[in-house]
Amino acid sequence: MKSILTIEHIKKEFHHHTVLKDISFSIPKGSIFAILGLNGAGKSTLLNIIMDLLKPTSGMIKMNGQTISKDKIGIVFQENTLDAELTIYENLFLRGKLYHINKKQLHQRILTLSHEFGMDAYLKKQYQCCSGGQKRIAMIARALLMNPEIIIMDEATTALDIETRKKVWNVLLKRNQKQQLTIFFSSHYIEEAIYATDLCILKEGTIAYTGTYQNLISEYSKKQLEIKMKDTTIKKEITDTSSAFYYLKCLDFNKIDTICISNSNLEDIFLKLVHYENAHL
Amino acid sequence: MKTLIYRHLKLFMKSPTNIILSFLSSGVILSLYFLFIRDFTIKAVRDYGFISNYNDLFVDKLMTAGLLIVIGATSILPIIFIFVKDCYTGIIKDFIVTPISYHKILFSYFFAALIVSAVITFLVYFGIELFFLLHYHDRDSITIIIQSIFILFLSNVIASMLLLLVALGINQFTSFSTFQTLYGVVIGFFTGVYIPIGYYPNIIRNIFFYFPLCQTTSILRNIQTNPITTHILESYPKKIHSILYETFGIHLTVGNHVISIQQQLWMMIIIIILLNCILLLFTSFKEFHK
Repeated sequence: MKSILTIEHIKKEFHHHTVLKDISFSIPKGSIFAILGLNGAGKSTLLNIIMDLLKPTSGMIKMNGQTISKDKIGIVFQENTLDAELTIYENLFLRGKLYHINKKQLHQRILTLSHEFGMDAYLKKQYQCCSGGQKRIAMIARALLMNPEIIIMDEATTALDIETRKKVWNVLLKRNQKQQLTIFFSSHYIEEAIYATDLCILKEGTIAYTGTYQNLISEYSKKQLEIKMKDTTIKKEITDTSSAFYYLKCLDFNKIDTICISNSNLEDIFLKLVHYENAHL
Repeated sequence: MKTLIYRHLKLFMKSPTNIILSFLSSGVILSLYFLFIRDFTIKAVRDYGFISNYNDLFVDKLMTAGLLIVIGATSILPIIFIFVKDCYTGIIKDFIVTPISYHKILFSYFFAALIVSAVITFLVYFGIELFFLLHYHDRDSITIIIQSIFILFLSNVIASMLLLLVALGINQFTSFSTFQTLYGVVIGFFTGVYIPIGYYPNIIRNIFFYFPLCQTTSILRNIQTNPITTHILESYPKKIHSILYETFGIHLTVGNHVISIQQQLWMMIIIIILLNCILLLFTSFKEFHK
């Protein structure tokens, strides 16, 4: 698949401290790409470099094989960056004008986005009077104003409740399917990675994994025996059922509440990848 | 850049307190002058031996010229405060990610500040002109009005650039708030509004000479008081004329040499070019070290 963004040997140092160490990967066009990592792994630094807010110490980023064109990237920051004193409509209109979209077209786009995200009721409401969720939705709508080829979201859904988060994702997924919108996002919620077709897991400034979601699951997901006891839960990887029996023999059955065998989920895989050096699962 | 200028002005207009306070502060500054400084300055002119029917008009013209420079310089603050707030809250990032260059973003604040200060200063200027017309039946000629507006505009350009540079240097919300409270008072002293510049020790006068707003105040005072000083000084020998000019900040001197208006204007142009270069250098530096 053709790449929309290519990250080539990105390195970033802050006062002799290396935050990103030779990061290279590419984001396929039309993909939903999640970047995961613990706090301090370098996610935000990498996103800031892509957004042109930081300059890499070395390496380069190309968009469709060329230098990044700012009007093709929609960005949603972690913090609210719209004007508190203006209404959502005024905010979107002013931001749209910065991309030289003509007034009529811009007005139409705002109405379309408002309808898609269900913002009609509070479109003319002052931004500072909106709820946390409404503010976030307005930020996402702002990023989509110029019909970008890619939207970059830095923990954009942090303040959203489950229902609103699902609503936002539905709009984004529709745009992904209909307009080939590439979605590149970082998130604290590991469960949000289920939307991703591709993943990059960062660990202390290096790539612990990059590839498709399916590959990650098929490559790293293992059977595990989960034993819930009165005061603790034990998780043990097993190769087959007989090895589970072998392990169970060593335990005192009077203390066991439940026993189950399941496949390790994304959270387990993620934690193993970021906690163990050269993790072999 | 037009959109950003419009945005800054819209934010300024959205807060009625901004507009009310801008005019209120002008009113307060003028009232304080009439209450506390006017009589002291009239007495000072008389103490130097200049006695004329034009003394009151001269002092009022002299002081209002200085106050106009201070009002222009302080009316910039609300827009520069928007810049500091945008940096602090991260809103500026939302502009940096658009196709607009950082230099243009920065200059949008400058132009918005200039528009606000120009409107406020000119309105106050015409208010003051109305006062002179009603109180003294004195009306400035068209040439003086055009010259005064030009100098006020020049002064606002310099003050906007200077303040933007200060804001870039401070770049912190609380520090800038503290700076704001000191700014008006300091500008008043630097331009010789509160105390005539000739009362300062030589060393201080030499330092203030290099402060650009001190120069614009001197030019504006020169333009505004020129028709009156000829009346006041007509009965005095030429060698003591300089006392009035230099003590009350109409003429500025370097050593024993009086700087002409032409020289002062050239200085202003050089300062504007220099400030622009510093802003350009700063944006390039920021671009390189981001």
